[in-house]
Amino acid sequence: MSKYCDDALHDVYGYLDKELSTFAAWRVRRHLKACGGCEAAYGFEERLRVVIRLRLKEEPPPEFLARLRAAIDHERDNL
Amino acid sequence: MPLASQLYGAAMRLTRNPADAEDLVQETFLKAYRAYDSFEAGTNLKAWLYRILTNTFINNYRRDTRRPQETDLGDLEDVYLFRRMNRDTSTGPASSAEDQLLEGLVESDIKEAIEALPDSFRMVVLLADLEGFSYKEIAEILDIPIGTVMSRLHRGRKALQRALWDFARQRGLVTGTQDGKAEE
Repeated sequence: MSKYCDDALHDVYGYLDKELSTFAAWRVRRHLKACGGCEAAYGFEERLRVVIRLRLKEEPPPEFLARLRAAIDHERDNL
Repeated sequence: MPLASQLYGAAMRLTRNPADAEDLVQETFLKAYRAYDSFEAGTNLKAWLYRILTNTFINNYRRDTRRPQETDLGDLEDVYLFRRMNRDTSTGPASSAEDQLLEGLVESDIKEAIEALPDSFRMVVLLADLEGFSYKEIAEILDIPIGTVMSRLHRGRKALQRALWDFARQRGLVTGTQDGKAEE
C-alpha cells in the first residue's frame, strides 16, 4: 500500500462512472500501472458492476406490454 | 417498446412486486403522454420519463417515508467486498475466489440486496448502475444536489456490497465473518 492507495480506492466509483476530472483520472491510471493491488480492486469493481447490471435485467411480461399499448391508445383516442 | 421494458426493470426494484411495477410504468407513460407538450424537444426523453417514474413512485408507492439520513447506512470501507474477500478468504488464489463469488451470486441475491436499500439510496443506485445515468442527470431526475447524488451513491453501493458479502457467506461462496464485522 502506498500513501496514494487510499485516495485511489476512494476514487474508484468516480473513475468507473467516468465522472473524475481529466487530471484525477490520469492520476488514477498512473497509480494503477504501478500498483497491482489497486489495479486488482478496480478490476473487481468493474466486473461486479457488470454482474449486477446483467442480473438486474428484468423483462416485462408480453401481456403487460400489450395492455400498456392498449392503455396508451385509449388515452390518445380520448384526448 | 424498449423504454417500457427498461422502466419496468427499475419499477420492479422500486416497488418490489410485479403488480405495482406494472401500474407504476403504466401511470408513468400515461402522465408522459398527457404532459408531452411540456417536454422540450431535443432534451433527454429517457431522463424525462425516469423523472416522472421516480416522482410517481415517491408520491404514490413509497412506504418508507423517513427522511434519509446520509449516515443511515454507516460508514464502510471503499471497495468493501474486494477487501473482505482478500482479508477473510483463505482458499486458493484471490482471482479464483473472485470468480467464485461473482459467478455464485445469483439473480435473487442481487435483487434482494438492492431492494433492502432505503428508497432514497436505492433510486440513486438504480439510476446509475442499472440505467447508466450520469451524476448530473440523476441530480436533475431526482431534483437533488449533485453532491447528494454522489454521497448516496457511494454509501448505497457500499451497503449493497455488505449485503452481497452476507449472501456470499450464506451460500458458502466465501468464508469469513457475518455482516461486515471484521474479526478482531
